[in-house]
Amino acid sequence: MSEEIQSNGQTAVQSDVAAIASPVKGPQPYWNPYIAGIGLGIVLLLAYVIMGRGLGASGAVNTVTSVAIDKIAHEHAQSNIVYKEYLGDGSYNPLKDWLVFEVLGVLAGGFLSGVFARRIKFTTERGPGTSSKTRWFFAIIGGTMMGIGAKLAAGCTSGQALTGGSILNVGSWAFMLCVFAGAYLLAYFVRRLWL
Amino acid sequence: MKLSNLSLNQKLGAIAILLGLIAVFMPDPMKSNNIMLDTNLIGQKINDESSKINVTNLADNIIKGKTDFTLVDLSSAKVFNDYHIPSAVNFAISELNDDNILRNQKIILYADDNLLAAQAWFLLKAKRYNSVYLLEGGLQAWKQQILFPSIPDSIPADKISEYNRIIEVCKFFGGQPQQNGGNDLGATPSLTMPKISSPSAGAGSAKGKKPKKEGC
Amino acid sequence: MMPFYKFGLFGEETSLIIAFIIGIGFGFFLERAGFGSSRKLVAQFYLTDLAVFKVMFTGIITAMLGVFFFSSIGWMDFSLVNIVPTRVIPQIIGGLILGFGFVIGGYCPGTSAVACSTGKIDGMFYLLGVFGGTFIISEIMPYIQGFYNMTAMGKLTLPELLNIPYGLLVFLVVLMAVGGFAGATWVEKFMAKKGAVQNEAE
Repeated sequence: MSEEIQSNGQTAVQSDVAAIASPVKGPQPYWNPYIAGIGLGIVLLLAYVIMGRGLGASGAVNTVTSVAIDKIAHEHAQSNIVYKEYLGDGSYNPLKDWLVFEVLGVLAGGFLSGVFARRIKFTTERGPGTSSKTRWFFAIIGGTMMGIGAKLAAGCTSGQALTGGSILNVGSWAFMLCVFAGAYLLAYFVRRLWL
Repeated sequence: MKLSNLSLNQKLGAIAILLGLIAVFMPDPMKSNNIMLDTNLIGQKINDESSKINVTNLADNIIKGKTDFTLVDLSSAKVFNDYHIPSAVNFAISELNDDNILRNQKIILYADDNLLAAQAWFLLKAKRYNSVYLLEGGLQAWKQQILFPSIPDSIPADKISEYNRIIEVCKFFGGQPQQNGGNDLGATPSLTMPKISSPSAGAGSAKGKKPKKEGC
Repeated sequence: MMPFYKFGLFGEETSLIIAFIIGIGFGFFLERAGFGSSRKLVAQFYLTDLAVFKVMFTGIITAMLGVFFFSSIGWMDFSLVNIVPTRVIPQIIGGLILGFGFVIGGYCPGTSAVACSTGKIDGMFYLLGVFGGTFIISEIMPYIQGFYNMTAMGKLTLPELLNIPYGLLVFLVVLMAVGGFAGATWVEKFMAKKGAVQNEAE
């Protein structure tokens, strides 16, 4: 009989024990997804109201990558159309970028929430039949694909799907549908990683 | 199905649908190249003449290197290439109307005379640009007062320093002071416009500076 | 008048601080929803836990309603809101690749940041991969400009494309989302029952 894993990553037995031993301590259950979604939506709305732009993540990665390449191979970076775009004309520090600061905030916010919910733990999420090392390998592969796809589409799920979706941007909706489609298509073939 | 029997999620769903329904009957925000004009504000700015800048002030600022503004020349590209006030950038009115170029910067508009600049001023004010100014008299006034100022033959003693200053400014911009009260600009073929050397730093960065990326 | 920044209410330095604060909110709610966990995220694609759909679309319709109403009553100047230009084919291809990467790696860039900050090692490897992928595509980009700019349609919104009034489309999207939520609840129950039956059978 396989152990049922609850949605917060603990087994039923574990959370029972946790509840008995220390009713308040231990990882807290996740929020109602709709409430969390409303919170997310309000944050996004605030970004529009205050800045006239939405959220994002891949842009910050692009900026940091461009700066790094610039330090290592300055000529090459300046002559590459992508890096140059993120580096600017040199009159300002490219790292003083809205998205870079926003992503730093995401790190902080995630940490904050994790601390309150006692979900900070060095761990590797994986299916019961997979080793950590396998997961790490595929995490890198997945991330690489993500980095490529995000630049092609000019955004990732945060920027295009969430942000662009909320202002009914055609490209964003097309993108979002394809993300889901792509993931569902491949899900069966990589189920060993997760199930 | 009583209201109290609905779960929280169902209540949220109902609220969302209700809001969506209301949305159907609200005015369409995308059909708004209609803007709400604050006519009082605009009228007041016209009245108190706080939007006008005269050529002498402009010349002084350029000489001192005070470049907290962007000088916009609305003339055609050809006219602009022939001569433009140093540090000016060239935009057609249609370009200004298009995107939100220079929205939050201090802009001084000029063209040959006042008409085009005044139209552009009104357009930008309607789009709720904050700091838009008009060069009073335009290029004509610039030529008349700065480039080719008329110096009277005999200068009263108390005005000597004033006229010296005028001559200095004139020479700075490569103009020629007109002796003997040569007022008739059009008829004097000897008046050559100063050559414009390679674009000054101000011009380059103002137009070349694309608004920072706002992607994701 | 909104957006405040575009009306010069504050400068660039302040906007960076605001970026940080907004980011905190973003990361906070992502983690609250459980999106710091790749297993929870990926469960979406095995139909056992559809939180990704629920959270994402709730966020979308919340912000969509907010932007619409503020713009409609004249508080927000919609023309000043940033719209990323549409390039149909590259965005479709990019989306598919991203979807593959999502289910293989278990995260997306935003959630991987949340994962890193809560200690998930696979999240860290994932983020490393994202940098790698960004590097690769940046190097290739000069050679695929033609592809990148294919089917570019400029800044295009659904109301414009479909010739449907904005407000009506808002309503339809809300209906679709709420309907989707109902459907998602049903699917989750169905899959849970199926799982329970399987467990008993073992």
